[in-house]
Amino acid sequence: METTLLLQGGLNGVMLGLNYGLIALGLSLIFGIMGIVNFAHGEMYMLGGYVAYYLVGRFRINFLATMIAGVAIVGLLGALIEKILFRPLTTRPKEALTSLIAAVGLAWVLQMLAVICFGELDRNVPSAFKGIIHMGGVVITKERLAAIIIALVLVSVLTLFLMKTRIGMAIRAVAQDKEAAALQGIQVSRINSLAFGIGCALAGAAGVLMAPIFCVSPFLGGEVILKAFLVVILGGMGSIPGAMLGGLVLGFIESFGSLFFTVPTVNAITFVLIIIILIVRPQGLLGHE
Amino acid sequence: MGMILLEVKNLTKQFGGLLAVNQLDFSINQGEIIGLIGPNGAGKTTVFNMITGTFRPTRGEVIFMGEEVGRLKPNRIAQLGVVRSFQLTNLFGEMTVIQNVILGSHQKSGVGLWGSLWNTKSTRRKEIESEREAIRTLEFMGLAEHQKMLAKNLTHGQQRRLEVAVVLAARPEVLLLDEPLQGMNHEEVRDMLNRIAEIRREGKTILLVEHNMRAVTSICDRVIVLNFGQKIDEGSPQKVMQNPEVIEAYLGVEE
Amino acid sequence: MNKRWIVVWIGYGVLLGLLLTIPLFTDEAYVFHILCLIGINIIFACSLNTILNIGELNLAHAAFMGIGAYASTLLVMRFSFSFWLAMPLAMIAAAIISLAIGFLTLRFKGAYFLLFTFLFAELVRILLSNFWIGLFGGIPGLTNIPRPSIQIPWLFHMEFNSNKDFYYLILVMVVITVFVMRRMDQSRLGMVFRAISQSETLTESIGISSMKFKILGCAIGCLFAGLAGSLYAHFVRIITPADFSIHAVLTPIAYVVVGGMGSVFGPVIGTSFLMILSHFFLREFGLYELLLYGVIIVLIIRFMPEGLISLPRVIAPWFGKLSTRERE
Repeated sequence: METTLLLQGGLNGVMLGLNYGLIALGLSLIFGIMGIVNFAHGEMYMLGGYVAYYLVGRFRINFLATMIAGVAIVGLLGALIEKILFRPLTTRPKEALTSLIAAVGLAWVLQMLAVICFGELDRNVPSAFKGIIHMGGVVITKERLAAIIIALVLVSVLTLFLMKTRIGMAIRAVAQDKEAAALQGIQVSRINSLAFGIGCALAGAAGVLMAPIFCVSPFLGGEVILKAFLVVILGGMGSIPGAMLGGLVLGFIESFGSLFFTVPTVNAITFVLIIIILIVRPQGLLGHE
Repeated sequence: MGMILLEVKNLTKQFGGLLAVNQLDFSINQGEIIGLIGPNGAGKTTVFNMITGTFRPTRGEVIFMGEEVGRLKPNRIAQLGVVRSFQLTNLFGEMTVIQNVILGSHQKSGVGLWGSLWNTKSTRRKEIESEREAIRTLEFMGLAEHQKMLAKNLTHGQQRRLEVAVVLAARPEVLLLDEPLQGMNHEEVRDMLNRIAEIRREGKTILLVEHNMRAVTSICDRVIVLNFGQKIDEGSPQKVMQNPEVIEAYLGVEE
Repeated sequence: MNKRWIVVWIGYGVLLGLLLTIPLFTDEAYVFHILCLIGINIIFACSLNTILNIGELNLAHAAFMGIGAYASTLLVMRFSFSFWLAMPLAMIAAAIISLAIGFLTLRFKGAYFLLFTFLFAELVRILLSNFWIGLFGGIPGLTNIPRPSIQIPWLFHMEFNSNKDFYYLILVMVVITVFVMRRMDQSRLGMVFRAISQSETLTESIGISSMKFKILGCAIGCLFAGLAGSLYAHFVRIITPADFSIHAVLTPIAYVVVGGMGSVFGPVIGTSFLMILSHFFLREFGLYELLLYGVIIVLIIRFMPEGLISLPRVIAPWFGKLSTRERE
């Protein structure tokens, strides 16, 4: 009985961890390439959730199409935001601070718009994969299993994209040294848009995946950005494997913690742990310097 | 010349898989003007960054006035007397020319924070002294008439001169100038070279990264040639320029 | 130069005079309630501005106000301190805690300070809401916080029970705060802060420790956030953890950005303008008001990052054009 509980917790931890990892991945990507802390990242996740709510919930569209739609909509929105809001700020002084404030304002605007458009209440999103599976004594819903698998697929696709394709390598070049990349003929502004779009799309994908498992609400963004920051600090700002590792660590802490403690205690413990890590190893588990 | 002021031994910098600087050795004597040349990507700015503490050397040492400084923070190294300028113009754009220079001198000026907050008499005296000294530095660099202008509104050549003025204000022993002639026309180049020579006459030591080969030949006592992070030659500009290896590695940007 | 100086000081005098005479025109407690809240928010906004001026965004700034509020309240109510001692102690408490955080996180480039303050704000909220409930009062918080009073035996006795009386106290505090902010801005310290916010690498390369100054700036900012907190607690007389959450920082960010980030009076103008607008004209708007604040932040940052205070500078060229056209 004890081991089953632990295994259950472990599986849940994996799901939570991959979810957090996906979101933090996008955040780290954006920060690594553009140096912007995308405060509105949580809202991208929330929007992905609402895409799922409307497409799967209201219009009964199949899951694959919803996934594609969610990724596309949120990703394009991200690229658009980069173009009209963040890019003009790069030519002005104090870019780090102004883009930060812009992101904070944007997050706020998106959240309020969501409340106005979608209403304050939590909404349920029906599962695309109904049923449960028994695996060696552990029970898991097909929905959660699908979430795990699809998250893994997305991370793999992204990794391949960054490692093998020309555009992916261009992105990595810009992340390492913007000026050197520009000297080699890479159009940094286009890469920035792309990176921002991909980063947001990742958050949106996570939102689609998690929508049936947890509810959607306009306030989701605020809760999620907090977790994303925790993960990014844990794993190291700008580190992609760090984001996944940090996500898994957080997922496990939350999953196992909730077996023994109340939610506020788990949160408090998580925060204290993160603070300790920041003191002992400030660059995170996998960060540089 | 004088004694050895700055020395690097076995200086190496590795970024993940990239070996940017490889086992570099050289030394600079007091009062010399040394040129650090090489094609783009040879590692010159990385060497600067290691000397000034922006990067930590992966291996090797940076020794300034007999002390190992490779592990110190940039502001500490600057306080000790090694001050740099940057390859891409780096100034306090939103501040006036004179404010830029005053800031350059801040660390050595003795203006206390508490005193300046409450505008005490002794602080006001020191502030006036700082301003006077800043004007002297600006006159030396030929910018005194623009002292109230915002730094971002200067011409490119003036900005490069202001950068050197800010470096001078920090009262360095060694100036590390990263492409100070970049983007300048003939007039401005000649002007700047004269000023650099003047700075040396005042007893300073200068390490220069430059692509302008004629300028390097005319002003540098010695030249160190870098390619792919390694030193491939060292010596007088004339001797080095005739080295076929140098010519091959670095076809040079002839003005 | 001298003439301008005289005009400026006359301006200050007139403004102060106006503010002092408001009580002659009205006795309504509600008006003074708003004015006091505006004053407290001005102090908060100015202190936030201090940290923005070193190029950092302190998302835990409201949490530091909370530290000041709770510290002051507990010192007065639990340990029978006089308000006049509790308030500076609360300020110092906020400043010391900020020193610890600053030392931990301002060492690093990048967004560590931002992220950490975000987490810290949440941590403070969680701690205040769920732990040591006997001390902090949990989610409902602390109530019945006493108004300050001055008791000098045989000489002077004043209770700040009415909003009007508290208004005078707030006015004094605001004047002191703005004065200190102005002194800082004009001093070498302010210059170094501005330098750091413009280019940290350049600042380091001329021998100035940006870390030291950032920590100092953060501490000064949080010191005054503590002041705002203490005043708030003893004015409103009820404090809850939700008052000092991350959301509580967002509106003041709008105040500072709208008013003008780099200047001393920007936060004053921005806070006064937006709070008056909000309280007297936008009362009915509810959610839309919050949306409006967000939109304002984004628009101003995008199109007029120097805020309202730069308006004269922005408009002046147009006046120039107008007058030349008239001459033609």
